[in-house]
Amino acid sequence: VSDEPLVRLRVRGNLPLAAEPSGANKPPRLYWPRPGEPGLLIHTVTDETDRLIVATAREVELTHDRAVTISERLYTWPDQVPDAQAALGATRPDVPAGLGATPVRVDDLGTGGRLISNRLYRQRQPGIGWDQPRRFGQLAAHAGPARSGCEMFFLRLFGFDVQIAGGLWRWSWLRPTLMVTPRGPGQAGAFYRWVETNDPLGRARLKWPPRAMVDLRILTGALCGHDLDDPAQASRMFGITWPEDVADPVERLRLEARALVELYGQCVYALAEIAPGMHPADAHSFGSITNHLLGRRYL
Amino acid sequence: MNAFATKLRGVTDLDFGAAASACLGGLFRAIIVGIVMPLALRDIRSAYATMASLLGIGRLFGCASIRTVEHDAGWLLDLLADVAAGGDRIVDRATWLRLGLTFVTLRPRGEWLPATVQLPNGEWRTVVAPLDLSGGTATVHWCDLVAVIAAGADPTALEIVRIFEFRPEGVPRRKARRIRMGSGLLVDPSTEDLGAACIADRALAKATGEEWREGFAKANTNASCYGALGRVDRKTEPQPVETVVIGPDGQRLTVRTRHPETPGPYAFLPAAGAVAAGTRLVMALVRRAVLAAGSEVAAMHADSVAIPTSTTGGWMACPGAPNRRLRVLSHAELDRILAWFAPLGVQFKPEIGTADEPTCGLVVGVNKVIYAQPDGASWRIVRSSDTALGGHVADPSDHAGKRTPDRRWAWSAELQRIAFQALAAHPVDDRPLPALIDPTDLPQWAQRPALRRHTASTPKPLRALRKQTGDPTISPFRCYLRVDTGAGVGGPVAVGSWPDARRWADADFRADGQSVRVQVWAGDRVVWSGGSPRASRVVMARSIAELFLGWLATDDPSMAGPARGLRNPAPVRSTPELVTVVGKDGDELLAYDADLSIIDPASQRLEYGAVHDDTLRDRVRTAGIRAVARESGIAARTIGGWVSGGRTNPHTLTRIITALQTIDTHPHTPEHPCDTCGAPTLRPRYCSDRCAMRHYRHPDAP
Repeated sequence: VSDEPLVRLRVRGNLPLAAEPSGANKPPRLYWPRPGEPGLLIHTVTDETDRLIVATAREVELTHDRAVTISERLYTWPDQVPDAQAALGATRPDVPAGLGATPVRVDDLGTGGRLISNRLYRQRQPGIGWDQPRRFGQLAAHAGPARSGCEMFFLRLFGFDVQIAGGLWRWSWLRPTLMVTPRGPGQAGAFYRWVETNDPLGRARLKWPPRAMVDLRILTGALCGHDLDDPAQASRMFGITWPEDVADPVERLRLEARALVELYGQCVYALAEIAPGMHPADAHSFGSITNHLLGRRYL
Repeated sequence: MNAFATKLRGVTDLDFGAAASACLGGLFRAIIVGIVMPLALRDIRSAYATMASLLGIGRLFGCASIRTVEHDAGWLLDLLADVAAGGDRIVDRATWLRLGLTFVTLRPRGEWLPATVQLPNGEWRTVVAPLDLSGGTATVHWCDLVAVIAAGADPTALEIVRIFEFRPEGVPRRKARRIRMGSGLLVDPSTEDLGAACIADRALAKATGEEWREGFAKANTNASCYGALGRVDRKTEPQPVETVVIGPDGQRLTVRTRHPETPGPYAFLPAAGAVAAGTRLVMALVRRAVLAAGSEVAAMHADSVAIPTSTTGGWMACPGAPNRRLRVLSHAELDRILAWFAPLGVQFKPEIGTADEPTCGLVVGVNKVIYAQPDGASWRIVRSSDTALGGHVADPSDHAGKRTPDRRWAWSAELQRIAFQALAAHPVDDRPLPALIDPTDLPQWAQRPALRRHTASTPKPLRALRKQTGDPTISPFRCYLRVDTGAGVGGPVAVGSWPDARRWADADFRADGQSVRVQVWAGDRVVWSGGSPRASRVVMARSIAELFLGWLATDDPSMAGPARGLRNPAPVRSTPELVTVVGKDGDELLAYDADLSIIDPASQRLEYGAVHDDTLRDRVRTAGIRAVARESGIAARTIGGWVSGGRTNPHTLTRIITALQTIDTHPHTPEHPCDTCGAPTLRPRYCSDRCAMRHYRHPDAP
């Protein structure tokens, strides 16, 4: 007679296949990179307590085989703008010859927030960055868990407020709130949605492409087949030099942003090569690329 | 719409539920633990693609319909007999392709089968162990059944209930049906082999010499042949919704949850389960061949195996083995064993340990193996597992973020090297590994506190972080370090990433909205102190040295045997009453850096309910409730309530099953002596309830 104690077992249940699969209601969106396609790269540098020191927003354009910066701006806290501008002096922006007529400009974070709103929300340009949820979190003047009950955050960036009489302020009706839904506990990446505003320039126009966010951490991880938590590692995979041991935060920020623009260009064309028709913002993992490949049939 | 939903013809819920219950994921077996030994690691090249090719999984993508076909046991029993006799039919590709997605329902009575069990410490783990379901049934893929025979079972003693197959048939009418691989290779799954195409795609990617292409081709292969088939997504809804799942008995179970699951667009769980079962069978056959050669497998993963192997072969000391010694194979012998699988197209890649580069290894526990080569008087770690020592523990060394050339964390590799060196110099005995390491051998930085790096990436950790720090303005996705107190509950936190460990003492550690002092003690003295010096509250932190010595502990409740040496899986005894139907594994849902002090892993797992199986109740009815009550010492009313459909706990069930076994073993006889006092009696074993209770309370008394 066996006297082993009984133990609990666990078996998988089978979900009925007729159930609505995830992503079924998403319209198929075919995409091919085209020269001249714009985007806005956002990058930040923080101190060891994760407090923002300086941020940059680079307007980028795709050429026929890579991405280039066409405008570069830096943003920092309002009280540090004069010092940062003085330190930069007449440094030329990191753009192709012929475009950088004026020195790099440093503005306050509010100006940066408004630029992000204009480009990403109104003009529907793709937002690009490494570990984007963290960058947006650092650029948020006001953020917290959404009250909808869903596992999501609301973020209002710097510059989304309006000064009213008596030194008071209110949130602007023309600047949207960014709703960020994390992919899961401890997982990188998120899903984004702008809350529509009264801004006539930002309202949905059917012929415009949907707003997209390209998180390079997710995209490079999907292309390399495993999670990448270090931009240096991702850059090395694609033959790009990542700046190491740069002490000055502004210099480090500019060099890192430059490498990220290069990385973006490489990744967009790499994805177009291995999974034609797939938008970089849809490549949430290598599994999504596989699903895209399995879903498209060829003669 | 799921790609396979419209193809199913006459596939019932019972077929689907039973086959899905045979789907088990990753598996690791640590068999020879705590001994530094010559070790070779062999890995199946493109394991999932090879299994998909052998089992014809690609046909599912290119067929017009899938239907269930019932089989009799004859052909399968012939195969099992051939395997038991050491025949070669199992290494014939035609055998695999013919059986494909065949599943077998049987009554396990101690056969070595895979199962996900709850260990005594509460953890869940997938094991391959002698499984007894007390008369209940389990469904397994045919590969797992052959693995049972490879483990030494008698094919004629199996109690097979049913054999059924998911058979893909026909060719779809659509013209465009070729799938494009990452390299541009086009494959028609209705006429060509998808698995073989995936292997060719990997070869093309490798030829480019670009690391990312190789990585993608590997991931795409695994996703096409396994991941996409097993994909289940969890959503988060604002309000609980009803979600349905099919249990192994075909019954639909419903549960209300805010996190319902939906199948992926190419989800077909039986196929995913078949691919994993195929790799388990190959591993079981390798183990049989190694045992036949007089040795034993040291550790086994889903698609790789570590075997004691040296250039010349020989013997090594090994507690738990016959005569406390175990044979070490030579590389030539190992190659001969693995060459047997060549007709299947299963190729073993020499990962670590070859005749030219002999390597030693140390299996510490589940998913923890260290491989090293001699380097002068010291050792050089060539590969190791970062399990529980990886990126989620903040780098405590003086060189922040430094990694070894193969991308392992330099600090954990250094600690593993020291431990390996100490254990290699130590004779094999039964003492636990941590007792053999001298803490003074560890570097100075090992006295720093163990801090875990997290991100407030969901609302729950953000709320907790704001509460801990007393700062309601902390933004989402902020990094923070949490002090590991070793108590399993959340310690103080410091906001920021703090990459330089030399500056940790300056961090503002906070708990319950107030600054605290964090200290590390070694014996009776403080070896590290950080946080606010004026804080009244002091928190003791676990040091990196303590964390690492804990990592070296080889306790594994799923195995039985010595602390160092050869172990065998502990038998698993259960009953269908104790089988729970679950969704996607919760542990898989939690990424490596999830803050477990805030997020309960159990909350990430969806439990649908228990399996409905009345086999045990019927056995009790047949034996008689009163007889079982007498034998088990449980009130007849309690047993009656349970037999009528009520629920009871595992302890009571254990007693009922033991009583049933006793009744089966000791049938009624006209008159016999009482087992306790020896007086003649007509009752089954004891002359009175008093004697039965006396035996129950003092089973060892004469």
